[in-house]
Amino acid sequence: MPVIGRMSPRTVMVLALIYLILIFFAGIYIYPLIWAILNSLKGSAGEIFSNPWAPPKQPTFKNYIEAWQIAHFDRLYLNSMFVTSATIFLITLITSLAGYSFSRFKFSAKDILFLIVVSGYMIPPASLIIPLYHMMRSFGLLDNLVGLILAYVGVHLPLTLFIIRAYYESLPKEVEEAAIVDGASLFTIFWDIVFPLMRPGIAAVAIWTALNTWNEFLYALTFLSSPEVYTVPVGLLSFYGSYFNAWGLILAGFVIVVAPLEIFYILFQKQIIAGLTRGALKA
Amino acid sequence: MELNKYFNRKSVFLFLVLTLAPLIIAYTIFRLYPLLFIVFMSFFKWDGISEPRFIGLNNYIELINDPVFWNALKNNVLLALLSIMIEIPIGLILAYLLVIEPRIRCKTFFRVVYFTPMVLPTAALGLLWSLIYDPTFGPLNQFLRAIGLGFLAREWLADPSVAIWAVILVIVWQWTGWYFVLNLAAVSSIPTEILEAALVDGASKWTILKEIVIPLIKSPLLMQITLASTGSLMYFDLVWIMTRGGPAHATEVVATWLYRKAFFFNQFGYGSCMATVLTIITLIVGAYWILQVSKGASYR
Repeated sequence: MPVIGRMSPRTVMVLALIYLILIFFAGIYIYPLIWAILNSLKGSAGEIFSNPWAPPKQPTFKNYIEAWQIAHFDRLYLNSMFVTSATIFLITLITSLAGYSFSRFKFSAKDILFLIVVSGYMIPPASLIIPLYHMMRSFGLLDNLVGLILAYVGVHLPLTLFIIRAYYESLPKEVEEAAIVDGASLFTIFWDIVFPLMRPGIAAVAIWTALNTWNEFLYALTFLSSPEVYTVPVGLLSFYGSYFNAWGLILAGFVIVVAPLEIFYILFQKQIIAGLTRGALKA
Repeated sequence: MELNKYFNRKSVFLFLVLTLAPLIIAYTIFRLYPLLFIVFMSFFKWDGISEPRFIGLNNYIELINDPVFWNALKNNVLLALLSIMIEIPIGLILAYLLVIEPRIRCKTFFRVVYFTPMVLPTAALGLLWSLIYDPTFGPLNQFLRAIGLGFLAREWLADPSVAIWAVILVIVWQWTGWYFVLNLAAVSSIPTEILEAALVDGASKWTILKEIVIPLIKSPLLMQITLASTGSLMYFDLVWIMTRGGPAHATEVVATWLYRKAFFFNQFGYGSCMATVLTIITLIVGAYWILQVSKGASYR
């Protein structure tokens, strides 16, 4: 250990202390997930209840098969995919168009308009649940994924507009000005020149929208009442509500919900963390 | 700077209308109209089906005299204070340790792990913690009994005196990772020469954090306080998932109470009144902190 050899005992102590803190917190976050996985592989609830820390004696996937069938995870995943992709499409379309005008043009009431939209981020989502519910009911969009998508577009607009405008501001205007001199029209410039350059900005907005839509709970809980249209979070909780004593099944359901997200997150951790923190940082 | 000058007014106008219209329409229908609706409806008695009846300020008077509302607001404030006093400092310390100590390995691992609960559905995490807190079979109580501390075992989510702490602990657990990554970005933006110079001068890590790092990241810290305080005021998810505001309203927050009033007791007028008050409080708190952020920024 040549490196340790050059350090004073005090430095070694400090380093050990730092590692201890870092590992302690890592344990707090990892252990509950490992606990859930281990117990989801146990064959009977009795085995979980008698010793929740022991690894499964004979690991089995039967909880997974059963949980998947009872809670209809195939349907939950399809619903969530539909809601999430439609919300991403609408949000990126609306904000990338409007964000461009905000960053490149002068027009009356521009600052006020931007402020009004962005300060919508400070409106509690729960505060608007009553009017949104009645609005969806009169549109016939209650218990309907389209209604949920529209509500999500409203919730996500403020912050995504903020994020995307910051990206536009960071793009140099020279390329556009050169194209203008060459006689390109505004629409050509936007579509052929600016849009391709904006891919990282649109990706950040898409990531932010994706996770916040996929995991959203309150609006899905309120607007959706039939199991056929449940999204993943609501479906999982409804499953838990009916099978709360069958811990093996519930934990298998938990892993079915968490594992794909976790894998996706580990693969794209850099982009995901950057995408999610962007809004707060650009402020 | 603007591109207006390159085009005639008509084509600029057309472009602006086409690009801004979707935003303005969506925002008006799904944010502004509902906002006006709750303010308007807060003066009515309405069960959601029959004709609303105007009752003046009666909902507001009822709200002022509603002990559950005040207890819920108190819980929101408690959550805000604990978020600011626990999540942000722990997040800052973890981020600072990763930046200041180049000999630490596996930095990506720690970063990914601390942020994990932020990418998972709160519904799933709430379910997991409900099992952990289970009074009979839950691993928490089983652990306490196994190490001879059985007298500490509680019905964590059913005992009015501890339930709010049990729920807040999970919220803090979930959100610390968020303030960790925000602080990691803030601390990493400090030029390394500054930190290295201080280390060479023999300053301790604690002194560097207190005297150099915190003053340099004052704006991002204020921004985090803004997010933590407004986010805590509008909080709903884990409370509803784990306790639904119970037992006996002990864990109620304003959002869960207005949700229950509206959708379980059909008091949509009273619910709108509570929603209006919650929105005003959140906007005022948010505006106050944003002002502090911009003040701090202009000093530099």
